[in-house]
Amino acid sequence: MPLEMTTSAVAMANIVINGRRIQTLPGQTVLQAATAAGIKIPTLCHHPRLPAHGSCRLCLVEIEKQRALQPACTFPVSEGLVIRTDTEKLMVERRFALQMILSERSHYCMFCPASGTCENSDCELQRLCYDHGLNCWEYTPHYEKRWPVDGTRQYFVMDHGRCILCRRCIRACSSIAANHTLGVHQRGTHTLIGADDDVPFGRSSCVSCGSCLQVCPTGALSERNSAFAGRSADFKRTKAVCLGCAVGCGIEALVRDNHLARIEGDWEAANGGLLCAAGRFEVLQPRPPRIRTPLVREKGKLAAASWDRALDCVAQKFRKAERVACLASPRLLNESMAALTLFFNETMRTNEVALLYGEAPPLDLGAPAGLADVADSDCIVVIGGNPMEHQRVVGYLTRRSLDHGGKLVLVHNGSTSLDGYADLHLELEDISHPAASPFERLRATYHLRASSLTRLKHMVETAERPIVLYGSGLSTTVYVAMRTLPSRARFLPLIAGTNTRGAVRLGLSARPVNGEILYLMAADDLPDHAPLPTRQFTVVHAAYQSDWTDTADVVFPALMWAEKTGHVTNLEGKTLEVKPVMSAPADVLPAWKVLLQLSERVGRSLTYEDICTFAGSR
Amino acid sequence: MTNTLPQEKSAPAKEPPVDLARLDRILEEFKSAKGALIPILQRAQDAYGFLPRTVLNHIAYKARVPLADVYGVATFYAQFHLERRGRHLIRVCDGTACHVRGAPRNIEVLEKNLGLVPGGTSADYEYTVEVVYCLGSCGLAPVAVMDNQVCGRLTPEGLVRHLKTLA
Repeated sequence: MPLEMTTSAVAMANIVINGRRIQTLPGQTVLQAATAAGIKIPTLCHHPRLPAHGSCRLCLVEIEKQRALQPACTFPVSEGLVIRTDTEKLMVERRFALQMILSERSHYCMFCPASGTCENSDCELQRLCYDHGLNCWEYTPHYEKRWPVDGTRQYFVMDHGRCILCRRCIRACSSIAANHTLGVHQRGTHTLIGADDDVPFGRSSCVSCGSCLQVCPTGALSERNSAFAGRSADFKRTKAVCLGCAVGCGIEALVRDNHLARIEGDWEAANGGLLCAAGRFEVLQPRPPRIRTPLVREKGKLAAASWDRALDCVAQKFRKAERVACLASPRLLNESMAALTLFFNETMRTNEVALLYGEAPPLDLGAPAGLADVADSDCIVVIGGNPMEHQRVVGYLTRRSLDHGGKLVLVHNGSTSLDGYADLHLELEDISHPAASPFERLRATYHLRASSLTRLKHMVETAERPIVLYGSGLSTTVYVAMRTLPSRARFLPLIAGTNTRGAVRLGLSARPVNGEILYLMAADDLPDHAPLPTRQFTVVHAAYQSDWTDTADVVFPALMWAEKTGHVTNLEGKTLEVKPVMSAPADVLPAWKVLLQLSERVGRSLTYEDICTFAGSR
Repeated sequence: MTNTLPQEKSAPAKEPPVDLARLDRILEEFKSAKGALIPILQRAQDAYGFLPRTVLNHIAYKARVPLADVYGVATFYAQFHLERRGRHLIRVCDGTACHVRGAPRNIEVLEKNLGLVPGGTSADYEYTVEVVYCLGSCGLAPVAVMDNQVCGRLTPEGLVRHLKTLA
């Protein structure tokens, strides 16, 4: 029975489906009411997360007092409807609809990555054909017509020959990603799904978020990485958290034989199935060779060593050292961050612990906003950040709010891809001392003129559900001014670095450190940030080979993101549980375990309980 | 209407420059109207003779309609043309009545006389020939409409005579 029944005060509608009396809410469609009652109606163009379209005619039902068969996905329920979903007439109509769809293009299943058997086909069209007992083509498809294949996108391919024009991709592009790249071009038998003014997809305004790929019911859109690597049913599907940036989107990872093949957005998570190119595709791209065992430099060359030997070597250096410094990747989980802070602060008695990169602005400006609130806001202020680049899902959600008539106030200098959408554009002023050396100006400070601030405030005051997305690097006066905004304004910090918020809570930040020994906790990060400080001895804890490990004296192998267990704090401040989607190489341990062993060898040993207490106390 | 194009796309390299001031005046008229895409396209086509890509881009940008939708509407309706058209429009009927009374011969003569490129427009952009199926004047078959003037009972010779009067 539908959940809404018990919670809503709205009058219920009584309908009858296949002779069963069902109570439902007005406003629901026949399909929703039937699904809620456990009655299955076949669908093809319909997708529960997309606006209904009603073009495939698979969900046709018989409704008494209606002249013709009606599509269940668009027909609203009303009091007294009597519906049948399972008559022979409907089966004939559905079979006819399927035959017509098959006759239009080259649905030649043998060469399609989505093809499978009756039970494990990834193609919804193929599954429906099996279900409806189609075993021959009643209308011969015209194979002589060559439908184009567009392979210009980096991560996935469009084969128009397998497209059924259900427009799910178009609806996903506009209503999920709010990108509006896709549309229907031409007419009749020439109809094609196209991008912008019929440019190749790879050269269009597409942002490769992959929402269209995730909802495509056939093999028309197929991902390069996972095509022909198996059916969905062959993969182990695990819900996980994307560790690409501070948004912490919910993902579903598809793994086969401990090989990560595909990432999909988790419909149930706060991101609602939406991901960005970095989270969906870039994580599957080839990485440098993995570090699988500890390495110790001997006679100038790095050689594989046992954990005992490597740990002893480091512990010996640590015992003698005057000052040890540590730089940590913000991609570490809370547990490893806590172990690291505790190890260096307590065991090594040093404060030279910092993040490799990653910044968080003040986190206490007002009521916090959640990710889910962004798309519903009627006025979004983006100040001192670029969500379209660094927290892309937040950027897409911002644009979704604009589609519903929301206003956008953009406060920054430079340009971002949100520029063309802004209702009000305000400039920030760089007030760092012009004569300051590049080192002193590591981070420029930006200020907002009083007149601009007044205009910003006016926009926020006239809105009902304003949300401020703010970045770091602004002057104190700007942050102070933001605190004086009306109390209904809610704040979402644009934090750089995946778990920077978790790190900040433990007292870590990105700043220069000094020490004769450098412990670089790189995790699965690769060097593309500032150069490392000068040091005499370097320990690198990394998952992949890089310039860092090549120049290190001792290398510890680290887990990569998909192997980690623990927690991460996202930009909303939510603590998300991270579960492994694949198993780690045999000799690779979590960072906190390595630090515990190291603390034992240095002589002031820590326990797992210490870490938990420390992490919990913050 | 949605908030869509972040910036206006630049014109395709092969397209001659288009004076957008006329389009801006049209867009200004429809500024406050919602769902006015088709009238805007019609007026733009009246102004430019066809719909250059630059014009479609500009409409999408100014009217805040996704470019894919503008292009979709422009390619859906037969009344919109995305290629440059000739100064004179000749619509020759090849419906059943006209066909049996010699329309194919007339079309052949037209194509030969005007040196038409594929798409039905002469190389000097003087003439565009459209073959249509029934103009509703079967009694005058074979029939053609030249710049909105109906010419009936056409013979190849008569057709050439009419062509000369067009210029």
